[in-house]
Amino acid sequence: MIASMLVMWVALPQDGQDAAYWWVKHEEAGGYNFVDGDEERFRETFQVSEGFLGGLRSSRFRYEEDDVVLTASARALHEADYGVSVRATRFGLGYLSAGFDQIPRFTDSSTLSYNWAPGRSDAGERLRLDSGRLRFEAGLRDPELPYITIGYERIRRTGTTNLFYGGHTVPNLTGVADPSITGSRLPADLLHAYVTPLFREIDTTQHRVHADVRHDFGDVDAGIRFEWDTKEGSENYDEPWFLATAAGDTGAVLDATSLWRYSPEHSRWTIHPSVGIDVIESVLRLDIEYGFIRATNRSELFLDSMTPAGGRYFGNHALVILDGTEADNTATTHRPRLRLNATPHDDWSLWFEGTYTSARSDNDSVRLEDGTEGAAGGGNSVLADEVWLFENDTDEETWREELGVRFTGIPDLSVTVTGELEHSAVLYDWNADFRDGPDAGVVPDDGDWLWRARGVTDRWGVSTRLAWDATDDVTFHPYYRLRNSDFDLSERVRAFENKPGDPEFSVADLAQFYPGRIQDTTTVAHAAGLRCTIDVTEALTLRPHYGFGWLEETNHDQRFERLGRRRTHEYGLGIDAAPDEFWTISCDVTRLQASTRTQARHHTNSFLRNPLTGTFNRGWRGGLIESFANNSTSLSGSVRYAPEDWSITCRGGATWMETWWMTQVSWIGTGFRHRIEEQVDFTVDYTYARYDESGNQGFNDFEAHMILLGFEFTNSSTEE
Amino acid sequence: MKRWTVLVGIGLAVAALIAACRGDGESRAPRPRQRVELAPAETIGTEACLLCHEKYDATMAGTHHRSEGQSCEACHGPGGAHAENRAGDETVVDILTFKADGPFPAFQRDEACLSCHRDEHPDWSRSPHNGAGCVSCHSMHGNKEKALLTKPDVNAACAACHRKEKSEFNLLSHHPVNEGRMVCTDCHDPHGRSATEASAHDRNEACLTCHSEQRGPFVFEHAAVREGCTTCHRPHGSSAQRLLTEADFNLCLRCHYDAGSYQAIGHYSHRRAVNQPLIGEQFANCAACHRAVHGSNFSKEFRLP
Repeated sequence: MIASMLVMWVALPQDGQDAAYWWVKHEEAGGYNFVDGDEERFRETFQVSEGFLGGLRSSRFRYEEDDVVLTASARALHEADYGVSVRATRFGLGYLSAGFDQIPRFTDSSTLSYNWAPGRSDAGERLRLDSGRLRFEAGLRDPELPYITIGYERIRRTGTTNLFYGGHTVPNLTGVADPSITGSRLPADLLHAYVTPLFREIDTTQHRVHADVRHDFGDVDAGIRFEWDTKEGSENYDEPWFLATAAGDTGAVLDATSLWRYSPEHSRWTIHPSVGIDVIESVLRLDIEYGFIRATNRSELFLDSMTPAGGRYFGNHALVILDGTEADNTATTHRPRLRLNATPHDDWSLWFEGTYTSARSDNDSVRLEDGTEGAAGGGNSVLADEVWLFENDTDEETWREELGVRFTGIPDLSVTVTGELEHSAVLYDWNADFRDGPDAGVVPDDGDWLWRARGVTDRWGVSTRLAWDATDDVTFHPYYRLRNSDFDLSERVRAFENKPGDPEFSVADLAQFYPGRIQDTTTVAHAAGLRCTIDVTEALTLRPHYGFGWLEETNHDQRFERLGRRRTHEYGLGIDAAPDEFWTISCDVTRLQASTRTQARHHTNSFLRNPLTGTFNRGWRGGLIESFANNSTSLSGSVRYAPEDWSITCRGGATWMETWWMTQVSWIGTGFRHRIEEQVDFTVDYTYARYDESGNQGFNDFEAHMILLGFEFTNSSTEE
Repeated sequence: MKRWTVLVGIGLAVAALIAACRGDGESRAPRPRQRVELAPAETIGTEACLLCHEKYDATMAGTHHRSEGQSCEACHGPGGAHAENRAGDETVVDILTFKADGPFPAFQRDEACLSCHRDEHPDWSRSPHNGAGCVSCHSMHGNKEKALLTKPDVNAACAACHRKEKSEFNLLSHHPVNEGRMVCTDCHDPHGRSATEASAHDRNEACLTCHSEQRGPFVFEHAAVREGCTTCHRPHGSSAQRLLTEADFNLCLRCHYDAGSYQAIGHYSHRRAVNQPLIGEQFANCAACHRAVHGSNFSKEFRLP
């Protein structure tokens, strides 16, 4: 119906019509993906299914007649991508566009090999998340009238994906000893193990409506944009717990399954007026914007844990039974911004931007825990019924200024320098009210805590970019960035009461209050690099590049102490060559290296202060990994030989990824294209791919053969 | 050994390519820096231009420059002097041309484009692409399919120079750019400021457009989100899951260094939790318990969404 309306609109009689122009390109293909090995990892790696693949790869159409243009495109690949879009434009009047597309995202369910618990892959379910987007937009583009644009988008995400987390083991709270692991550094009891990956069913719908009005008043253009965005739905988690009797033992037993249902509802209103003034045409422009954003976030959470026999399971504080748990949050942000762009001379450009942000959020939630009235083991009496009320008010005030200059007055050299300064203060006022529970009311305010903190962040940074045409054939693009972020947290626990029986809220030798806080930390990040373009000959260009990043976090809460460090190197080479009119060669190789160092296995220079007792203990940061590397090398290239009516392309590549083990993904393929008729091409494509892990028991490995045959049809009303 | 083999192989391939791509030894024309003033000339109209430049009648058909009724002289300037130079003396600069190796500096060529497109790209002066010239990516006569690009699509146009980013999309976890389901301009404005120089707030907005569920507000927020999504994620690609900068819990420990120092936090021994000598350190995972790492409404430790 929409297409019919668009065609009718296009077919409206026009004065002084020229001959119509049309152009069409149509690609169809069909093939098969043979996979030997882990099909799920194949799907995740190439984001296509095994088995048949094919359909309409692409179809595009363009029709032009006088001042009317109609474009349409479509795509329909079996169990993969679907899409159709149309757009009709009438110059001097406006346009209408509509479209729908759907894309999948495949996730592997077997990322890590657990030799002591069955993997999610055993469930045999395909982890696939589909995102479908329906959109309409209409615009009025009459030069005499304000430009008006209205649009609507509906985005639906539905399917199942995995979760990043999992694999952690915790001491069993039932207290049953397992002699098989006695003597290890782990406690002499059983382990409860989450299984990675856990999976999550998602069904969310997002609506987005926007409207723009903009008009040009000579040297001044003004506009306003409204946007409403809402997203709601549910996410259901299925979290199996396995009782692992010992490492290496494959006889893990399903102990319980936790079912979650999280129902978020986000809404966001944006009103964004702006004015642009050409103070001096082509020399000085002033833009003033104001952003008003009101965001709400309401959510409900339900959680239940059941044993295989159908009984309630109360094994872990993080997984108590929650029913009627809900939150209601609202945030309001005001963000005015001013920009000045100046080009006083051909050799100079300058700009300034100032942004002020004032934001406040009021957040409330209630957490209802359904427990066993103190019957839990492990001394964890929190498993009784409890009611918590949380309230958090956050106030933010941020100033940010940026100043930049570009100078091109030196022959063959362009220099750009940017400086930024940001001061941000966020005031957190947290209030937790322990309303009901086995101990509530015995002592007034038992379990309550109030925490008020002011986090002040001062950031400054400098960025420099150069473009230097060293010779007529060689160009250098060096850059350097420095960013310094100083975070200073001043906090005050206004009230804090013990909650008897809960070590989290007790003064105990081994317990600390809120250890997740980061206090008085400075982060310094440097990044430098160089990109070159070297035209070795008219037909050969080399593009070497190198980059270095250095980030260091330093704590000076009590005494100066260097904490984490991260260094990155990247270097590589790109090659583009066309030895003659028939040959095209392209190749890239890039090596990425990242190393992180922590303070593991080191004594601290400072003393760790127990905020409850005030006592100091010299810290020992034991038990962690000192350094960790995350490296990869990526190589890819193609060679194409294309005489008049046929072409052949050979391509290949490999990616080596070094994390806990070496993973290698490699592929090599060839494609052949032959022009059968003036407008018809035949294509055949074959790719061999291999995935190989040197560790992880190699259970993600696969080999794949992908074959695709296709036809392309191209035609137009004119010769080109 | 494998790395050296690859490097030697690449070296040999480059040498072979250089041999195969030998040029004629002539250097390119110097790149102009100074504005070139054109002598005043009369306008002659598009039809007069097409008398000689007939091929552009076909290649521009269907492009928006043609559809919107733009004349040749809207970009190239008045063609009177050029038409009089019928001998085609290329040493005479009589009309604005856009070739990168032509007589006009990039900024002067760009001014012609900006005379119409300035309002669309108010931050062009701050763009790192400013200086490269519009024609580095666009062909005003060509490619009627995609925004007059010199390459078949947006991703190919960006990848021509941004080789590191192109490689990152080959890593295991990546945004679906190679699959053709995303384009670089979904996140980046090539005509605006560099993403690396933007504030954390502005960078986050690019992410939150699609990942709106992470926007909040939350009762308990994670300060790292204020610092920017790129604190933990590599937006183009990563060897680690979920585009994370690290493959394991070291990511968390970069900031939460104290977690490993305490024998027990709350109920649990975190020293044990993050050190798994029995089953392998790779199995330890902070997010196993701290699920809601972007923010939580019900748990100050992010254990619940």
